[in-house]
Amino acid sequence: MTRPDRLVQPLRPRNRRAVMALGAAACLGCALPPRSARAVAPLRFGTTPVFLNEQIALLERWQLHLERQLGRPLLFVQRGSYREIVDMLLGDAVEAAWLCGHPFVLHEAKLAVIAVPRYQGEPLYRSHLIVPSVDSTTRHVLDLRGRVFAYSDPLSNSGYLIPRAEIAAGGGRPASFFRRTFFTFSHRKVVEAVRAGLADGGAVDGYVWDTMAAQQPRSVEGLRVAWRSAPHGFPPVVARRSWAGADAQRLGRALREMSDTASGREILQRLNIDGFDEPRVGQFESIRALQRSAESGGG
Amino acid sequence: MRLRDLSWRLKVPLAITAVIVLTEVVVTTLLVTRALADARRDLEATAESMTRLLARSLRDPLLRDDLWQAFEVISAPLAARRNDSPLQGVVVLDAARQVFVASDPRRLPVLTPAAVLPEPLAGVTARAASDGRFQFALGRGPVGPELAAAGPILADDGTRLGTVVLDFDGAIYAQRLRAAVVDVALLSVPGLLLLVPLGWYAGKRLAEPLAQMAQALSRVGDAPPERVLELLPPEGGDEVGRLSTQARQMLAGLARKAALEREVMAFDRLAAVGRVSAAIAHEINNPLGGMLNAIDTALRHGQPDAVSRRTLGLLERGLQQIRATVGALLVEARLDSPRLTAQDWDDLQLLIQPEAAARQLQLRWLVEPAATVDTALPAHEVRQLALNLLLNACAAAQAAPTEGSAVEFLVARSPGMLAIVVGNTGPALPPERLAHMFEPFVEADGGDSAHRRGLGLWVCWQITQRLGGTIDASSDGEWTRVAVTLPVPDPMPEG
Repeated sequence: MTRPDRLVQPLRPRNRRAVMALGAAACLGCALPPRSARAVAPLRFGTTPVFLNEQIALLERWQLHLERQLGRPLLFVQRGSYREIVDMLLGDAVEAAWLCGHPFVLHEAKLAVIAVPRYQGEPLYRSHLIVPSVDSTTRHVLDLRGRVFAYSDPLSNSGYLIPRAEIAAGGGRPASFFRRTFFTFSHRKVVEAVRAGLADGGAVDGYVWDTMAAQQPRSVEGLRVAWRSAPHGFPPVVARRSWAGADAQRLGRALREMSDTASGREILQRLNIDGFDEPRVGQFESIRALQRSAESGGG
Repeated sequence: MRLRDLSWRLKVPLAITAVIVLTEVVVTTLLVTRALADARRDLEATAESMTRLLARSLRDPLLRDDLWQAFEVISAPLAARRNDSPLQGVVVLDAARQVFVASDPRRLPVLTPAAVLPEPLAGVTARAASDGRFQFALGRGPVGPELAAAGPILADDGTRLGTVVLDFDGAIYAQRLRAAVVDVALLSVPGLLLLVPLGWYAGKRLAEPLAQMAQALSRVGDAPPERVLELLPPEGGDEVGRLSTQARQMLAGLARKAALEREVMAFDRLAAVGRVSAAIAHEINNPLGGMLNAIDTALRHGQPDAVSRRTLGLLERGLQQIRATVGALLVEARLDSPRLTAQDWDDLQLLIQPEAAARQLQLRWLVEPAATVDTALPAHEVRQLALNLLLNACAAAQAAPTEGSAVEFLVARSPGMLAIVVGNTGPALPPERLAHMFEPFVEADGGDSAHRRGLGLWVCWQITQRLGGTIDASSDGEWTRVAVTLPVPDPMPEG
């Protein structure tokens, strides 16, 4: 039983005007730099802390790269939580977003995956349980009963769904397992919270953790990974189905083709991923299963 | 050394310097006190505004139970603080008085009861909880000051959501206080460096006239009064100036007293000489009279041969000369003297004119008409006095002949007094000569004139004394003058 994760709708009339404008801009003069396409409504691309999205300089370069590839303006949109970006996606406030697999499976009726990052050769990532290095005994989230625990986002797979599923699997009630829990709404801040001693442990996106460890080693000092989850589908780039079509295909292609250009490879290197792939069938099935068990198990 | 033995030259500058230093110390102490109070007030004001700011920022995170947001809110002032900021921690307590979040969660983990908060945090927290207002505590801990502040976190409707507590590092605060104290103390150094030399200088200036006075007065007795006068500070209206005036008056009095003493001494000396002369004259005159009588008898009634007659004649002349000399020494009162009249002055002029002419001296003669009025003065003695003085002046003027050598004779009359001044040109006489002018047989320049002059003035002094007058000599380099004053009973009405 698989559901196609990639369902890109054909071009819809409501987007025709934009395409016409784009064509007109292209006709008016190829000499004009792509930025002259500002007259076209920008493609609004939501980002979430599934990657280190507070690196403004990187986002600017990525934006320039994509604008050049797409021949139209692009706007990265950031909000404080996954929920807000999901709401914007569903409410036509953004066209696409790099989102966690969990909100995608929650709303996959309205969302379509257009590209999936490839990390360490696979479109997969894991959830990491991180604890202070001084805590040498914790091997699993179940070892942290009655402690203070930091989740990243209530819609996060790696930073919420997985540890709660582990607790439920271990016979605990996620709602009362810890003495106190809180959300930081960012994997990076979960790392910070555990590092500050505010939480005794936290669940983070393994990819984010690895990237922090590689790019900002000091930010993970004094911490260790106590447990790694099974692999799950990497947070995908999704578009709302109402917008999907030629634009969405173009965006997906532009993302996939990043590894073909020098500037794209540089950005990928900074993002610490190998590239973007087409979505595969069944890629997010494990997250769907977690979601189902969470719904049934109660949490 | 006792303080009272110290010179005013040191005492005054020392006193001024001491006052300056004392003032600086007092001012610095006040400023330091003020700086300390300011530092405390500043810290309290900072703590209060930070407490209010945090309380406001923490309202929503507390309402939403957003632990991470609250942590970020309380981490911000710590992350942004300067190195010298004493703020070292923030604790947020929830309505149940448990730690909602602390900036140092390892020290104060989430859900720690407020009861286990260390002092002084527990104290301010309790007080803020009880009266619901900002609290600031500055106490003395075992290692230094202990500081804490706390304020309530209130919802819009005033409901207490929790308490925010600020923990300050007493060591940094103490260090800041020390820096403030050092700053203020250093501030007073330039003032001292400027004021102390100025004060020392002013003190020396103030004490200088006093020291000058002391030095001048210390010379009284061993230095001539004129020198002492030079050394005295200038006169003025202030105390030292008035003291100077008094000292000058005192010196003048001393000078007058010294002059008087000298006069008295001279008079005593002359009087003693007079007594001795009179005694000798009597002692000599008695045998002398006998010897002259014997020679006279031998010449008249004896039969001396030629040799004896010559010898007796020689003896008689010699004895006559002795009698003349002794007679000159002893001026005796002559009770038969007629009263002085205008004719006497004319006679004197007639007598002296040939003498002056023979010595080629100009004679200035001025006898006031009033002086010629009949007086009760004895004519013989006044004539002898005036003649002696005139002869003496002629001799003195001739002894130092110049082109305009002259002798003057002035007689003036004032009520109750007759003044006779006799002057002659010639070099100034040294003071010691003037002091002994009237003593008999004083040595003078000329060999022959000495004898005469000496006895002449001695005779004048004796006459003056007998007539109850005064006699003084003065010499100014051009003229040497002898002035005689004689008391004159008021003329009797005619008839």
